[in-house]
Amino acid sequence: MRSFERIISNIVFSLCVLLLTAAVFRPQLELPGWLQASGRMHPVLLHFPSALLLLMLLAIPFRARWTNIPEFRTLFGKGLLLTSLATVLTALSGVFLSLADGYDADLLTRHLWLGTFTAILSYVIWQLWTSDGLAPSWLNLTSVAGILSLVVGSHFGGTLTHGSDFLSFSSNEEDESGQVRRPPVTDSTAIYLAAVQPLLQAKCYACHNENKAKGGLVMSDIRKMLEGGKSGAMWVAGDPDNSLIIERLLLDMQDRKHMPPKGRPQLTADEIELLHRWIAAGADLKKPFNALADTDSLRTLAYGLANSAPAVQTSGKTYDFEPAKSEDLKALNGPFRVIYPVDYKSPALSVAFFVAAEYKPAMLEECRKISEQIVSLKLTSMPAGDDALDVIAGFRHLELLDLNGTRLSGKGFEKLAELKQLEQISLSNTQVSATQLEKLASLSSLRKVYIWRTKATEEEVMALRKKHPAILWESGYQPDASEELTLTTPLAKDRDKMVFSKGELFEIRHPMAGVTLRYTTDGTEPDSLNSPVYKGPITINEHTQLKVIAVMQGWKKSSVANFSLFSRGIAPSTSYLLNQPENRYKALGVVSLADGLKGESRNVLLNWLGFR
Amino acid sequence: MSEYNKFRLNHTRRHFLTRAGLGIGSIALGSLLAPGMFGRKQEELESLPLGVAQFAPKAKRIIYLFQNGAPSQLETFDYKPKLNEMIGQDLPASIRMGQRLTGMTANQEKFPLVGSAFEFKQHGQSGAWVSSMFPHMASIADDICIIKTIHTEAINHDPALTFFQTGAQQGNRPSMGAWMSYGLGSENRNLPAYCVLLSRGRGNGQGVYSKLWTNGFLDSIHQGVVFSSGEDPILYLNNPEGQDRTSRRDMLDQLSKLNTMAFEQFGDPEIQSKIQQYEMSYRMQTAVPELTDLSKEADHIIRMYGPECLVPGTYAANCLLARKLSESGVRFVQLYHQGWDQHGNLVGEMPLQAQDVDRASAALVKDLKQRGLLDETLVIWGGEFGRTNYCQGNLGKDNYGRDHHPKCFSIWMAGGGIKPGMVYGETDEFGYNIVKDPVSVHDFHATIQHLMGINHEQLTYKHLGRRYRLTDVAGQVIPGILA
Repeated sequence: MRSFERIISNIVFSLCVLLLTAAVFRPQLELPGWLQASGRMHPVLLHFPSALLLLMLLAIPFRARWTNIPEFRTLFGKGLLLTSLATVLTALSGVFLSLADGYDADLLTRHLWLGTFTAILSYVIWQLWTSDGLAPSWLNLTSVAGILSLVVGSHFGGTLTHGSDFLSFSSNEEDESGQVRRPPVTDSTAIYLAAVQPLLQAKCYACHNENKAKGGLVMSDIRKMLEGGKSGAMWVAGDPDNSLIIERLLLDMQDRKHMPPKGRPQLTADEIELLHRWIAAGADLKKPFNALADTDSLRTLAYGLANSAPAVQTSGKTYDFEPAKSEDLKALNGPFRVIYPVDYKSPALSVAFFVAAEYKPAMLEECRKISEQIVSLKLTSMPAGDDALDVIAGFRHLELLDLNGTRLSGKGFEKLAELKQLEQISLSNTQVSATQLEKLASLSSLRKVYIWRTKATEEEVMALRKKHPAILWESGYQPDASEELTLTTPLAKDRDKMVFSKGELFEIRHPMAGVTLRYTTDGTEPDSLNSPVYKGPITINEHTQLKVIAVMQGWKKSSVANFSLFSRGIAPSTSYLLNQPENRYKALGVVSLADGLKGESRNVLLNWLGFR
Repeated sequence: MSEYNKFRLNHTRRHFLTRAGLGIGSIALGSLLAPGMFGRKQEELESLPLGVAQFAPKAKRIIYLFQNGAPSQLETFDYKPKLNEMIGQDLPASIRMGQRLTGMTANQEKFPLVGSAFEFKQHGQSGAWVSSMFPHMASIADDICIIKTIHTEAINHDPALTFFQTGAQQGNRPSMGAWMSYGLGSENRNLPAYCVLLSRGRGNGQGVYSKLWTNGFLDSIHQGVVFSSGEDPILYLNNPEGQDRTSRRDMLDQLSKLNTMAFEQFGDPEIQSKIQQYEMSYRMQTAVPELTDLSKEADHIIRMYGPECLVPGTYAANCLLARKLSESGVRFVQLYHQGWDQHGNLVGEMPLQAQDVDRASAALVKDLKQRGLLDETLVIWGGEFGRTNYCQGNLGKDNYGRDHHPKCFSIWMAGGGIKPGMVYGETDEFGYNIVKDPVSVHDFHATIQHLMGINHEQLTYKHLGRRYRLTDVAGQVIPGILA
């Protein structure tokens, strides 16, 4: 039994050391989540040591009356040790809890240090109790100190949790009413109702209601609120700086008259600003938002507080199927068939195929191994035909199916009937007809169907929309036939070539298929009806001023492209450079000066000479 | 696990001794003092799922139509008739409140207010005001969310751009696209996760630099890949003459062996990136031609984006390519369109800029929508800051210019979990200060990451002894714009 005591004693000692270190280095502490969570046990744990320790410490000064029974004495010692263990653990959990935000810093520090002190003292007292030799007065002294620190420390702890007025003699009943559902805030809602009253309710009603009217002030009733309390009316309309409520809010935190009292939830700077501006604007209980200019700062502030931003959501859908086997995923994943989870915790998979030249139907069939998990499948531009539907029909959790630009005709859409989760199917650029599309409408979850450039005509699409209005039938952009766009200017095939030897060819290009290019060589503007049509490269024998336009039915003619083409003339038989160019910009030396090529401006070819 | 974590397993001797030196005895206390040595926090950081979303994402891909140079909010979405009433009057000091000015207007004696020379009308269910220069963007008013109250800290282009792209003004931090690539990986491993497309308008332009799409301290596989604006969007992708695909494969296999040997010797994770990059470019040889072939585009598409979409290097062509890249699983497509810096001649230049981008920007949203992709693709349109409500230099009779203004400007976002058809935030009647719902650049980043399924506080990378995030130490998700 002795060894049992020794073990516990050692544990308590080491916990004391840990406690002290944790208390000292509290600002630097960063806890793993589970430890921080254990801190929340503090309010539960604390009742044991407070009661036990208090009783035991009270008993110690009177020990002469009951320690004459030795068994009793040993038993008390053991109890004291266990109580000490509980105290230290409680204190430690308190330190962990203190890392959570939202506590009054001053109070917290006092509570924390008194708690730590009490815990360590309890262990010291146990040591004193077991070592008989010491003067009994030490035991008495430490016990009294322990009682004091326990009582005061607990009081601070209580204030932290319940607020400073919890122990006051007035009624402790909180007003739990008032959690009414508010109508949505619109432009015609009164600012008081939308922003001011909710604020007062959240931060003031608890002590200023009909049951508990501290300072004689009742705020939960508009009429009584306007009467004010013992110190007078809450505000002077239009004069916030002489209004009692603003004064009390702005008083120093240490001031006894500061509101809300220390330890209670305080108003944010924005909230005080709101009250200030609302009183400045006349403290009108009925004035709606739309009575103020759009840019009015009271309006924007109140609007912001009334519609305080909704929390950002990060959770997606949850799925109840098992994740795929990782060896399957590894085997199936490759550059042309990419499989990835929706997010890293999700068992749901997205599958996408890339590079049409590499696609084989077997690649889709292999996906049957993960048919349960596929929620999104993309076969965009793959040469997949109608037989792909046989495989796809087995992916029963599919939500998104992209078949844009595939070779699908839509035959066999009825096979997809089992895809109860399918929400979106993309069929743009396919040969699917309206009759085939009709079959999709029976899919219960289907919401969006993309059918731009399918065989379905505009009338058929209208009919589908009318018949199945719950589904979005997106037929995409239809060009406005009456709109005439301007053709782009013709270009030289080789933009850099401007000097021609006798008989060399000059070639013109236009990126649009089907355009007619018309040109002149006499300097006049080409005409879209009569000028010669460009049929192939033009032979350049002399300096030529070439003007070209592009024309096409249904389009406006292009602007004129102007090419000044030079004939080479006499080539020098020998040439040399008097000054040498920079090392990096030598090109081919003197040859580059007369090679008939334009210097390239993007510094890739460096076919020009550079001098410094 | 990532190369980074493998690399971390290569403990140095000093590292080992430091760890071991603490001894087992310190564990109990250490677990309390050292930030969660066994705690959940550490676990969260270590097991942060790289390459997959933390929670179900609303947006899977982003297309960012960056309007480089800063288009004026007062001629796009922020309608301020008061400025037309007060034209020529000095900006009241009570509105400016000592806001610092750029070197270009700091010496100006007067700040004559000037209203938009372009008409405004309300559009869509939300009644959003859009200037007459942007009829096509106005037509998608019900699909987009216009944010009028974004604000930044920088007043010059380079720091402002860098701030928008990387979350810090100084540069060398990873850009948004790199963070997305790092956090979410690539959907299509045959294309870079982060692609950059450049175009130049006819207005006064400002440069873009490769630091805007840098991987910063992240692994270099996360760097943005710039597409060339010429005929061949990706240079040197084709095999050189005389080499066929088989011999290419053989060459890469041999090269990879050599690189693996080098990695075993030095353990430099960059060698692994190199191997992966070679492999990807090999696969890109088949993936890219499928994408860049515009010959199969329907007449519909050409009319939608405008005929310029067939001319490589134009904004319209880049929008079309962006749709194709995004449709093919590219995580982040970044466009830059230069030419929005209207210090002077705003009335002359802005309509040209608008002509370049209006139709194609709207077409991109419509095109994604008709393919069922808008729900999972986030489209962002906007510049790096706003422009002043007063004229830079002397106010002309029919023309004016505007200087840089960081305190409020307008951008729009669409798709990918953004509430459609709304206008968020309010500016004062001078269009100078925000009166309601400000959105900082950090908030903007936090919200984007939230839409992509990432908690912006948890996607971090440890560099030079501390953990970095895109939002640095700030940023809050803006719930008001989430669908």
